[in-house]
Amino acid sequence: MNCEHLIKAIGDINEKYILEYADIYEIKKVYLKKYLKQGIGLVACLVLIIASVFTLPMLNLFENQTVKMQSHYFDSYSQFVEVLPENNLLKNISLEKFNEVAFIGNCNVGNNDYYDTENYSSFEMVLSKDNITSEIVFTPNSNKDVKSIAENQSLFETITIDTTVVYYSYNIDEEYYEALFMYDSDLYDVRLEEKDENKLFNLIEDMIK
Amino acid sequence: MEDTQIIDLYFSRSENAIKATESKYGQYCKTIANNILCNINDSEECVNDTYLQTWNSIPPTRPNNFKAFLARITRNLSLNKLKSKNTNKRKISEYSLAYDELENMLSTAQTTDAYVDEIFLKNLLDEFLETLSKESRMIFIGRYWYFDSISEISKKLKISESKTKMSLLRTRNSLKDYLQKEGVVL
Repeated sequence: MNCEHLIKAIGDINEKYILEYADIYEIKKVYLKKYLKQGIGLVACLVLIIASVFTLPMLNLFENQTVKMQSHYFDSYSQFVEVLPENNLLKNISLEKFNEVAFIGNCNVGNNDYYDTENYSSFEMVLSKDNITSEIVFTPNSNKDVKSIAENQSLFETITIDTTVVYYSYNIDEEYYEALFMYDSDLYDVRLEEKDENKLFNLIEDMIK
Repeated sequence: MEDTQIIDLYFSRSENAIKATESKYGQYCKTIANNILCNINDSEECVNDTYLQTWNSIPPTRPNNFKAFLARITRNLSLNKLKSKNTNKRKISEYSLAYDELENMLSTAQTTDAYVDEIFLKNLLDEFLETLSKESRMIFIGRYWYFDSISEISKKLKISESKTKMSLLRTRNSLKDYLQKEGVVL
């Protein structure tokens, strides 16, 4: 099977899935109409105008963000670890099946494989040991504020392990723990298919020892 | 106008059917086409072809869901149009980025051109999508059905780009495992 077969097959999936995503637009439209009817539209417009006046000068700050995201894939774990920054923590982590650790940190600029890396302030790596599938995603000007990222990912519980604040939560639907924490100026995103939160804490404790 | 009323216009062979379709779903179809073709003129042409194919299909077909029916035609026509063009000079569209992502997923599994029955594969994909959480499924569909950009998907679902990228990677890995487990020769 090649990629074109797969893309064609994805095109033939059940229409309920196609509509599930398309319906996001519908919901937005309905709410907008409702609010406009209630006379809030005018207020919203005024707020937008005022906000624009204050934020327009800031737009120049985001000129660099037009850079496209890039991905690089690795065939083996050894190839993957070669590009990790020195003293990285990932080398020592023993990963169980399906569990993953993502690392968000500064890129090792200078490797020929990653042209234009100077345009990227950070990168993410997701490692799944058993699949030996790894990926680096270069992200321009990524936000490294751990608290806001954690809130974005609905990780509302916190625990402090050896002075490191860990944001975490249990995903009931997919039955895994996810944790986010900053260590040594690097951001880590850990996913563990366990129901026991202590196993998550132990793993993180091992990482930051 | 309700979809059933628009379909009735097609059945009565009224040209208002196309006007009503354009008014209600024109922009939706254009977005799908432009994500693939990355060219406004080609996209508009493709959407016009969608109307024509819809006109030729209804009747006798009476779609259960008119919106999905149009979306599917637009996607297929856009992919065919892209294929008929010189792919070497293809622009970097969201389609080409999504294509590379899937191709990379397949290449790590030592891809072959082995034939896979289309209906079998479609059923497997439906089953696989059912196993995903709603959010993961919507992200996957947004990327590989609609070919929306990562930032677009993130905005629509109100999640971070980082989360979207990770979800896509995890879903691709799961899909690869699932297909292999079900005996699909990748």
